[in-house]
Amino acid sequence: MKNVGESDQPIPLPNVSSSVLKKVLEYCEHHRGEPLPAPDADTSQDDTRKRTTDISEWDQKFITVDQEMLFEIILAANYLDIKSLLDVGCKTVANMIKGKTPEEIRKLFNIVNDFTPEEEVRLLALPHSYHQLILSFWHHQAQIKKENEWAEDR
Amino acid sequence: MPFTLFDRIRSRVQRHVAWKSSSKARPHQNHVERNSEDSDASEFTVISPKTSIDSTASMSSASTSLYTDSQDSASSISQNHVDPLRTSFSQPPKEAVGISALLDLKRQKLLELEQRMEALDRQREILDHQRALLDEEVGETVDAIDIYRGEVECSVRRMPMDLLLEIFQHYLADNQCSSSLGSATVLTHVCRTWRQVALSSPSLWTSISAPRVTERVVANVKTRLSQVEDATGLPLHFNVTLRKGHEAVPEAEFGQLSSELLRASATQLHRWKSFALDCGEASLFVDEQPFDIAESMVASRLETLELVFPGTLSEERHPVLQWTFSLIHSSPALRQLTLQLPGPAFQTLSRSSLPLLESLSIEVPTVTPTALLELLQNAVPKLRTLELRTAGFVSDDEDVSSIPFVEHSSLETFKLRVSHGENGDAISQFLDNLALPSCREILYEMGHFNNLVVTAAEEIREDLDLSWPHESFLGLLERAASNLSSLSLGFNSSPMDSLDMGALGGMGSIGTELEEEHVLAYLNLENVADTLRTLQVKRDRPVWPGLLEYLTLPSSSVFRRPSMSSIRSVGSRSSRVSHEALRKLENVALDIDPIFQVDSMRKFVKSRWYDGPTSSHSFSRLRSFIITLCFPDLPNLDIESSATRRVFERIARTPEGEKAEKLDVVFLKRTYSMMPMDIPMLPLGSDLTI
Repeated sequence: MKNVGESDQPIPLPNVSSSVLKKVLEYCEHHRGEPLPAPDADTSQDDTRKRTTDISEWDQKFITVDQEMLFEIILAANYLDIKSLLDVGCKTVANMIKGKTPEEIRKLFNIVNDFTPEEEVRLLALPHSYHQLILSFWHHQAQIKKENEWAEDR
Repeated sequence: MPFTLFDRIRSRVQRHVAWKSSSKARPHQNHVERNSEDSDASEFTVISPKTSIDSTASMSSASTSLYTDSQDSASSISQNHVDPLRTSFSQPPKEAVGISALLDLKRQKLLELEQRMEALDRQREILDHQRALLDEEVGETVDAIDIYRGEVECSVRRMPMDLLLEIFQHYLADNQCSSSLGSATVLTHVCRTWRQVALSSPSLWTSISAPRVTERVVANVKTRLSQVEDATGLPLHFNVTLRKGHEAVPEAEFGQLSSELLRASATQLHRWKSFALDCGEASLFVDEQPFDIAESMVASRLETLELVFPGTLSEERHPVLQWTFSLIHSSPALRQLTLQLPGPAFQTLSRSSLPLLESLSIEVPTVTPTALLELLQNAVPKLRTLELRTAGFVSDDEDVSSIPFVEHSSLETFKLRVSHGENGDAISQFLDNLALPSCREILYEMGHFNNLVVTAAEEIREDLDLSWPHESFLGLLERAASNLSSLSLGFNSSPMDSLDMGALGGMGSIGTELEEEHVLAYLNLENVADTLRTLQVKRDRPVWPGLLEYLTLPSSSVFRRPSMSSIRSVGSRSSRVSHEALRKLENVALDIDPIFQVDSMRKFVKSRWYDGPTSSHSFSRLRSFIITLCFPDLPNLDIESSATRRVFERIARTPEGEKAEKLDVVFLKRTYSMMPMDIPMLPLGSDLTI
């Protein structure tokens, strides 16, 4: 904006729809005054940048939108270079993927399985114990979730 | 002779007359005959429209000529005024010919009808086939619509590669590797695009895990290493557990694969960011080093190192220990070090220089006060957390006066667990010569707790005494930070299993135990009473009733009189009354007798949580309560434990309870007898939140 200077002329944002822009503005309004994240110049060299999937309560509520809007927000945040919003969006998608099988991920995002049957067989040619390990892990996670919900109800 | 209309009418009238006369004699045949006549009459009207079908057209014309001939015979029969089928007179030849002609006509018709039915069947088959093809096509079209619609609605397809990678990196940040294939493997199985992005991003494959040693795991690790070989800027995280894939694997093969795995990892030593090696239960490298560490090799980026070697070794110059210290010496950036070593380690470790080390967790069979103090004095200036587990504190042979006094100014958390005791007041010597002015969290446990595992049992000297060094520990607390926030005390003189008593050695005598007045003395210290947030007391039996009473605030009225000046004026350090002590207490873990201490426990929780101290009173409300239900060895224990649960459930149901912040309650269970025999704790209920 500094480069553009003071102007009454409309600024075209061809890649961002009005509804998405409204959401982006809502986010910016809420986080107004917060310090910008430090530029991580050596990200490409070292992945020491702390990544977590923790999202603050407000952000979580803000990003609870339908899938199309979620991805639109991510694209808009990327286009408008709003790093914190991009992080929130990516973390949300990462959380959605967490603990799911490839098939569940496909179903979640309507992704077409474009592997040939032969490729799939090759992909899944894993030791039996590995499958069992994964299955038991998911079962365990589901059980914990159920128990937590039970405890919350009480 | 042509068959005229007049003849036809006449014939009908005659047949009607004949039918009338015969119906009087056989009324039950009336319906049948009438039907046959009707069918005769209707044959012509039915057949004629069907001649439009090509296949039957020729047949129709053929039947017409037959029909004409038969008309002649039929008319001659009718002229006799008798139905030739209804008489037993002998047939004249002409009539027989007429009947044969009629029969032929009927047969011809039957044939014709059958042919038409066949033709229709063929047509139906063709239509059925066409219908099936159509059904199939409809199914394919619907599927195609679903696919195209799915693709249109698949928002994730619009993500550019770099954003997809960003999402993957967030995904991996919280996913611990559960196999040598890595967590990112799931991502590569979703679709071609995801696979391409994941496989072309070395940063997703920098965590290499080998939870067991099999040929496949070793091959996977090598594949991963080759994937990230060119991405030299990326640091690597290794997690290797040397455990057999299954029992049947021969020891020699297991050893070879393990060596291969570690050598492959060592080729990237300069890129290690974290390295964890657990030798499992196998004493694989008792006589040899896991891999050679050359002088020139420097793990310049290694920040987290975790090494677990089971077994026992008595000499400090053993290859495994030497290898461990070589690795530590080659890691100048080390910040977190976790060691479980089979032999003496502190003397060599204290000669190391670990300028950046912030956290040290070490488990060794024995330790001497001097070696530990020298380590703190010389090697780890920036250490913030020290956790030491040992079976025995062994006094130095040196003169006691030569033990240095060490003041470590950066240590904030100090945890010391001694399972079998000390000889020659070694613990007192250590504690008396240590000052931790920044330390805010202190844990000191003596005796047998199930979370304390020291494997080097047979090396433990037999002259160890289990005795609580009250005065020395009190001194350490006084020299700790002015705002001590966490204090955990434990004393359990009962061995976990009586059969181990001889094998473990030590435990020859039990000296001073942790007493109620000791704990009260610690809690009354100025730097403890005003700031303590977490208190944990573990014993082999229920907490002293006096301590529970001390921790219980007298009544809610204290919160209605928030004047702290009046509270402060009540007493000095020695005469402090309970309601002004431990104002910040938020987390408590105690052993409770579920039969005799339920009421006092209820009062404690009521006063600290339910009655609602608020921040305006500078009292903190209780946040968590870990209750270890200590049962005497009696029947019907489960019934008794439910009474304790009901106490909390009742509190939770009250309307006031809803206003209060949540109190997290964790129940554990342990039985004891006066033998005494301690049974390891069993989780009774998980995280019952009220």
